[in-house]
Amino acid sequence: MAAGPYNYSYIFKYIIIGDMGVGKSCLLHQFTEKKFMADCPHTIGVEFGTRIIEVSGQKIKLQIWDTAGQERFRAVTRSYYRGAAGALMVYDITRRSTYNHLSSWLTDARNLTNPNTVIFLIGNKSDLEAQRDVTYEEAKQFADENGLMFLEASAKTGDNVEDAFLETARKIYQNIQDGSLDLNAAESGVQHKPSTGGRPNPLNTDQQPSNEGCRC
Amino acid sequence: MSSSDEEGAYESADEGATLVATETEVQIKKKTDSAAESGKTVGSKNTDKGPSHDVKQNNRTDSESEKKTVEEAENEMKTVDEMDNVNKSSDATGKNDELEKDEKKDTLDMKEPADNVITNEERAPPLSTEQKIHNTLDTLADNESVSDTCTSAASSSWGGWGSSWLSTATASVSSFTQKAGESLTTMMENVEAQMGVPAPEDIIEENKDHVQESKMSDEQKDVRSKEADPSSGSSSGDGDGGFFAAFGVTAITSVVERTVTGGIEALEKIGKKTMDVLQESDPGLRKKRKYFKEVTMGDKVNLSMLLREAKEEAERQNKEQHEEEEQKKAHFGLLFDEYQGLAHLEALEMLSNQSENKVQTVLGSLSGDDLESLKTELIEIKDAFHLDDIDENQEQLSDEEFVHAITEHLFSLSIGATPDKLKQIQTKAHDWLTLCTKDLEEKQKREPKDIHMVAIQTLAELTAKSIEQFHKASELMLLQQVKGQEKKPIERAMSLSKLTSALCSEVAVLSTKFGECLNISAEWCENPSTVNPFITNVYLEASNSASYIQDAFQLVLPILQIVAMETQNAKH
Repeated sequence: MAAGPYNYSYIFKYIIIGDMGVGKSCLLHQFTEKKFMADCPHTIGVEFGTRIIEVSGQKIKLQIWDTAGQERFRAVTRSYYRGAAGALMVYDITRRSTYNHLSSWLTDARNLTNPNTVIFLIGNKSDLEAQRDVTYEEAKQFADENGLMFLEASAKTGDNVEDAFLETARKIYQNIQDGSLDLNAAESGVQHKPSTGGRPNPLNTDQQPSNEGCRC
Repeated sequence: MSSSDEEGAYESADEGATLVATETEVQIKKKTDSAAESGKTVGSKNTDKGPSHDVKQNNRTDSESEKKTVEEAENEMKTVDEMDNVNKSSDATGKNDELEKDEKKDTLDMKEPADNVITNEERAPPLSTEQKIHNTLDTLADNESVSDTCTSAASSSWGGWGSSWLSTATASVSSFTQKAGESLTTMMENVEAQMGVPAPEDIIEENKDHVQESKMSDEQKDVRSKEADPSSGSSSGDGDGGFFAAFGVTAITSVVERTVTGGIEALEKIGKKTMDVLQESDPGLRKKRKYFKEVTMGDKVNLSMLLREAKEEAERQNKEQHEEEEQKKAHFGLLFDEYQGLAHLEALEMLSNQSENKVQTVLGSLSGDDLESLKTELIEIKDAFHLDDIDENQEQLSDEEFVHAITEHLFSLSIGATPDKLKQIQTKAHDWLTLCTKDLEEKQKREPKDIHMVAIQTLAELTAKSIEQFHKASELMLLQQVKGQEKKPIERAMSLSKLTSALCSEVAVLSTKFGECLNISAEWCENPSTVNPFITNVYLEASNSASYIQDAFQLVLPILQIVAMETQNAKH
């Protein structure tokens, strides 16, 4: 194809992590479809969502990996952290247990991603103010202590959902601009100009979307 | 006359020269602009001819005609010399002319002290001279070229030189000789830098001696030159040569030669500079030429034409955008990615690589019987992953058979995976194909482009969902299964293998059916040959699809192997 079918210049890999039932899939659905999914089934392993956004005039495709929160999938989902440019760590402001587990999720995120991965803490279900179990100040302090970006959001109302995804992308883009994120690094989680570049893994280089020719 | 004073005078003269030279450049720019405004072809004339020779010629004749008497010639000389000083941008020529002037001054005001002469000349030139300078400047400005200016000035000076000298040559010979000696010193000092004359002092001493010795011959020469003088300007040129020849110093001759060469070089430099100024921000003078061309051609671009062009451009862009979107709708790779086929493939690959690493680690840590029994099982599983050549012994499954087959194989994996998504795609595709075939039989026109689009979309979606199925199966198999309920890995491998065959066969069925539809549609097409690329593309992407599915299947092997290992470990 002459012009190249892509209308974006970067792909950022995001991963959404957190306890079961905090609303990870709903946040993703709200972000990609701008709709609230009331009866969301349990995620098996990992599901995907994509959306093209614009940061500083650059079109960026967000490839979002929405992981299963169930403990039994933990071993499998740990395999998917690798190569994430951004990690959205979600807890439920109405359930303190989901907040208490954050340190465990943060350990995984730190250990299984690269040092430049932007970690964004999201306190979901901010619309349920009456049932609040975790204060904003408390979570904000936790975020500051661990160098995380933080917002309270609502997948139901859509409040702050865009901001959380976009702020993460802006931070990643800033890291690219100031050179702290090396695009050539194997697991940067960022792919540049997919029409010319390639996916980092050797198998998929053969299976480029742009590949029109016979692979046999 | 001290040499330092002289140098100071020269420096100031040179500064003046540079100043005026810049002014002249500015003037030229203005002239070019005004010429452009008036729409005359002056600019092109300048570009094409460069420093125009006819102008130079005119100037020369002008100045020559003015030299009707010796007195007039002297005045002209002054003017011209002023012009020279003023217009020279190169030191060599500037200084040289200064020298000549000095010499002439000396001969003119023989009885005055040389210092006074120079100061008078530099600071308070006669009014008439100034006026003449202005006149000359005006004339030159009309000719619109620095190089022209310089050329005319230079030629006049060379022409007038001899006459001025000759007119005063009859004055006291001793005085002249003294002054000439001084002039020579000045000349040598000035030229030494550029001309590279060695040991200037020595040469000057020598020259002075020569001058003393040749006094007599000088007198004779003077008389002879005087006779020749009034006839024409050209004879004055001969006078120059005669004067130098009289000294019999070859060094001076070479200096003169070099001076002339230097002067020509300077002119060339000025000419080039002029062209540079004209071409500044206008390489090749394209803009200026174009402008003049347009002016002469009249109004070329009108509003309606501009609007029509803009409209055509917009239409073209719209069409391109539309085509691009159309292409995207029928682009297998893009659609495969859109259905998250790539993401699932990548995730499956991550699981596969990790499992592969684990298998290698475990194998490395085992030994003896454990290793042997494990190896046997792993090889069995590997054998089960070998697919028969699907294309050859392909049993074409009917719609129902396919659904039945994939349901059976998925359930036999006993991981709780359902074939709903695959079933849905398959049903949708076959419904569409049935309708399309019916339409074509009833001679209703179907666009081959649309059939192709649906074909590619179906293939991409089926492929993506197949890979998702393998990915999900792998994830579920990796979960800790409830003991006793799990199937043997070898049985799962067999089921997966059959599933793969069924999927690949379905891809083949679909591509054949879409191909048939395209073939029939070609009969109703104005240009049947345009359908061929569509058919080729469908079969090509079908083969791509089958490859993706088989690749994904192979990625499950290490996952099943690690599951087998863990099962065996659990037994022990």
